[in-house]
Amino acid sequence: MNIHDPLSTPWLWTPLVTGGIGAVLILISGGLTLPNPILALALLILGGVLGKWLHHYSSTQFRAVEKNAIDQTTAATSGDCRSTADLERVCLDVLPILSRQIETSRAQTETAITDLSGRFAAIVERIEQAVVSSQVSPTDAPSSTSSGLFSHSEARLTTVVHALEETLVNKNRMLDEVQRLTDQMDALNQMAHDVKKIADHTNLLALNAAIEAARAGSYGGGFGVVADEVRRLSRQSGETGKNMGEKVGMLHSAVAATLNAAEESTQREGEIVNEAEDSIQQVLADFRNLTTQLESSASDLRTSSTAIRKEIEDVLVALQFQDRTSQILTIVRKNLDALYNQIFAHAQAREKGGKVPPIDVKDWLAHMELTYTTWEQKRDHHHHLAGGKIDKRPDPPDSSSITFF
Amino acid sequence: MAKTILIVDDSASIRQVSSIALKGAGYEVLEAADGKAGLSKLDGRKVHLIITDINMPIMDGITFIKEVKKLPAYRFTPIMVLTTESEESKKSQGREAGAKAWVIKPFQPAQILDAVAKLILP
Repeated sequence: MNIHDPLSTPWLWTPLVTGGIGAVLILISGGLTLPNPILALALLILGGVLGKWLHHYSSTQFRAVEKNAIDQTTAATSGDCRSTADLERVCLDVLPILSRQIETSRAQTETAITDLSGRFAAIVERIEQAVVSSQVSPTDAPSSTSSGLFSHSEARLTTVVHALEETLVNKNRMLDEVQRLTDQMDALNQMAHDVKKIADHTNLLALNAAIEAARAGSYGGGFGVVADEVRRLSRQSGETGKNMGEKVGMLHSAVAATLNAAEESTQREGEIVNEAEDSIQQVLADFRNLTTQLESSASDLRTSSTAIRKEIEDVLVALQFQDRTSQILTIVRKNLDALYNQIFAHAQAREKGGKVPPIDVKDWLAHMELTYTTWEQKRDHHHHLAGGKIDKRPDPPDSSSITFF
Repeated sequence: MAKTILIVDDSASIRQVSSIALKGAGYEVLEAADGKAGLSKLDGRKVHLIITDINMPIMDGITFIKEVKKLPAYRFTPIMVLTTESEESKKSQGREAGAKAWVIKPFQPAQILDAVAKLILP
């Protein structure tokens, strides 16, 4: 410190000059007669002594103050140096820890979000497959859908019912034929009856011929033989006619019994066919209700699946924040690392006693701004530089627009 | 035959979102985590469009675009940038490198599909 010379201070000369002036005034006013010269001399000596004492006192005080000031300055300078060194050590120890912690949290978030989005992506794929498999392609077979299966089944069952009805019709037709055969048997029976009547009548004629032959005597012998032969033939014819009638009757009874059984069977079969048709219609109605419900459920399932897929896609879109925060944290970490390197170089230079390189804060901030990749980083940067009072927030980019070159 | 699109992005979640949207629209998708891996993925394959991020490790997007444009087989393959960068200076770099479109993240799948449809020749 540049200390002012205390000898140049007025503390020494002011009392001496004052004493001198007083001595001169005494000699002028009182003359050179005693005791004026003695008083003037005493006044001069008193001024000198007083000046000397004041000079000594002021010098002592000044040195004390000076020493105190030097001591304080030295202490302050020493403290500043220690504080700077401490701050450097804190930065050099803390910054790598902060940098590592930021990287750890960034990596953990990235891993978790990547895993989460991967699982969501798998869910979306499965839903997509389920929706696709539940949808009916125009090229698919009709039987592959519930409504198509219903129509197909209905057609086949109707065909079966029609086949049964056709069989029944054919059977009725056959029974009609049998009925007509019975009628023919009645005619045959009548013919057998007629044969027997003719035989009886022939027998009567032959008997009359035999009587007439006997009356003719020897002349009618031959004729009598013929008449006997005719009577024998007529009896045989009559028996044949009788047998025919019996056989036709037996046949008629058998056919009638068969016809009766067939008619009963046909009636029963007709009832069974009708019951089967009713049952089939009932089953088809139930089946139609079931397929309608199934198709409705499948449609609801497709609608829900599509909605869930859309929701998950929206979640995946929202998870894009991870990419953004990861980039911001990466740049924060890089800037912390750069700051560490700067402080390390500064500390090294200071400890070696060399020239400590100055830090251009504006240049440092400008360089940091160049590393930003998102508009939020620029916003926060300018917001801080403005002291948080003036928000120089740049407008966020219009993410809905696409720039084509 | 389905068109093939290569997605180059270091963010797995971004690749997944893009991939789901593109596959849902009927495209085949190839994925790579950085520019160098993207170049390896090309490997002579027929690729109809490339979508790339800008800020990636190992090889960034601008370098990747320049490298792709050096390959005769992919000289005319359209390239779309998908990035958080919105600075005009960055867009200029992308355009000069050979990109045809610039989309800013976060994006909606419909945006990507719209841009892809305009860039891929029928």
